[in-house]
Amino acid sequence: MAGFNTESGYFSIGSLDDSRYPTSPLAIGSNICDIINLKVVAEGEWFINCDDNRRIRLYKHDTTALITRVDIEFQVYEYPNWVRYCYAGSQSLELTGDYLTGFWLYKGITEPYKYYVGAQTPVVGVDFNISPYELVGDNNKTFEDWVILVDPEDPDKDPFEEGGFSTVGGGMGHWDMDSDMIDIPDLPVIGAQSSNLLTLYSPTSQQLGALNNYLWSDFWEIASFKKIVANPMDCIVSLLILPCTVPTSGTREIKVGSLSTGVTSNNASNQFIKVNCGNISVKEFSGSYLDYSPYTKAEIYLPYIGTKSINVDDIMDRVVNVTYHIDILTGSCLAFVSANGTVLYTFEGNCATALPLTSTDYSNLYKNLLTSVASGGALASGIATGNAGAIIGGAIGAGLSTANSVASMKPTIQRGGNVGGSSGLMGIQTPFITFNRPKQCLPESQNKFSGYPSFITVNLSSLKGYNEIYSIHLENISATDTEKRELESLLQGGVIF
Amino acid sequence: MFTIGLYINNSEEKKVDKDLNLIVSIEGELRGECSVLSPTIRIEYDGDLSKCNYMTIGAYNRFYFVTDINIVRTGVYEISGRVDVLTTYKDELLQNRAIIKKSERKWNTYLDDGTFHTYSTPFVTQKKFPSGFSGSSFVLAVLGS
Repeated sequence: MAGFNTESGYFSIGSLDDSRYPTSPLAIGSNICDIINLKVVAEGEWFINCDDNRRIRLYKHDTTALITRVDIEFQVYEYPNWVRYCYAGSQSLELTGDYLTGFWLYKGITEPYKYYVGAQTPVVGVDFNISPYELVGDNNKTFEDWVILVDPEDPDKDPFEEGGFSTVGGGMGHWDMDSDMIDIPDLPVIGAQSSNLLTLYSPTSQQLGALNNYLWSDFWEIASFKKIVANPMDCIVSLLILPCTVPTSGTREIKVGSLSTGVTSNNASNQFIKVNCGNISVKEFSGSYLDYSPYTKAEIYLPYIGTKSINVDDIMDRVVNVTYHIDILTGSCLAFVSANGTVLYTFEGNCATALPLTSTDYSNLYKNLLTSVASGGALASGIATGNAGAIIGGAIGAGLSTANSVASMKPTIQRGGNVGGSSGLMGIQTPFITFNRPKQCLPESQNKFSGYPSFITVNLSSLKGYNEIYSIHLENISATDTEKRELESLLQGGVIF
Repeated sequence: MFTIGLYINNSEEKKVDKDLNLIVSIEGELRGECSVLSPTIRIEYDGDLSKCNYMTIGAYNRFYFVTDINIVRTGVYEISGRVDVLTTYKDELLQNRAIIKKSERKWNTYLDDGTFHTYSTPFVTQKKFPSGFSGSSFVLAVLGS
């Protein structure tokens, strides 16, 4: 008894009419279906076509077969998330030599054996499995004996097959040129005088004499206090201003050593706190390689840390989050930059402004600040790195520069140095990312005249428009050797299908 | 018998499927030697062949670009051609598979092959996070508890 085997394969489908959409996803409103690739495991002459209603039909021409029912299982791949939807169903066929069956990719009402095509989810491919059944009376019988198994030692098997073959893609950029304004911030309203522990004065000579008498009064002769500290100020470790709200738990009296001051203050509940700056979604602009390094560059400004370069490949088409961890005792902060929930970068800084309580404190602070500036800290900016020298004599006389040559000639400029402590308090308090994107020089209809990049295997019968062939083995062509060479040369130079 | 079709080809040379307008189809006999790939044939025709740029020779199963037309005498032309391999072998060619490197429709814009050019004037845009540091607090650290 003749029959046919369980067969499976994969094919891509696409749109031809709307040039804004890549050909692989099936765009809404298209009426023509392309066959890009059909892989048939078993023998037989399976055909696939797509009618105006985007109904995928598979049919086999076999005049001797007695199959009256076919089970179809198909999985649909959606761009860009490659989500699969599985349907299984059966259809009865007439007892004829041609078996016509299939399933719909349908815009509109979801029905059995029909897959609903969403406006934002173009379909890029379909896996199908077809299992034939024979109905003999009331019995169902499967043709298991006819199933062809893949030979594990098949010499024609491609070792890279499991990694998947190349396919069409891209062109789904958002073309969003909106840019947020990063304004110069107002001066901080809080300062040392707000603490009421420091006051700026301009005293006379008599006033200075009165201060001197107070400092050398009997207060310092308290024996018990002098056993602990030589100076009560030694009990005060630090006084800081932090640029965030510190969580508190109740109030308590301030004690200097064991000495009660009678002063009540809020009690800080934890030494370490978290500041979450939220998420931004980084989207492709053109949906092409120009959105990635080295063509597009990204730098992130982090408050109390400064501007840092990051790899745009790490954040493109991802949701980026910045979260700070802060030690309120020292002011040390650690900024975590994560993409799609995973931390990719950590940067260290200090977000505290230390208030000097003695003259020694102040002189130490001032000395540290000068040292920081001299070593290229807060004031170091505008430094160019990279291939600045390559600008000279670069593309002169070489015709139009490609994106690659332009990217390599552009130097990378540092947009700022370290910004911590009181400098950071005067700075921008919200992180932001700066993107440097290339502006594409695109002549109209470039794809029609010279094509866009591609590297996929196709049936030549599926091609339309201008195409250049990378590699072909001309088979089953009754041409002379001269003609074959000319054919290959023409195909590689570009022809119009 | 030797059938020759004379056409006006409106399509580009490298187009596989040509848009042809038939001028005349002529029957004749082959006399003497004639190259299959670059034939030169002599025909008798009373009409105007000045716009003829394409021909077919049924006996050779090939299509040809007309490379030259000589008027031997009134009503007699000598037409030279070279084979159009794309159109001649179109049906067989389309049964083949190939790897394409440039395409009008089946492209992948993530492939960097130097196709695209860019201006030297980039876009600089900035994206701000929704929140940052706000508020302020004193933190006083004192020895003892």
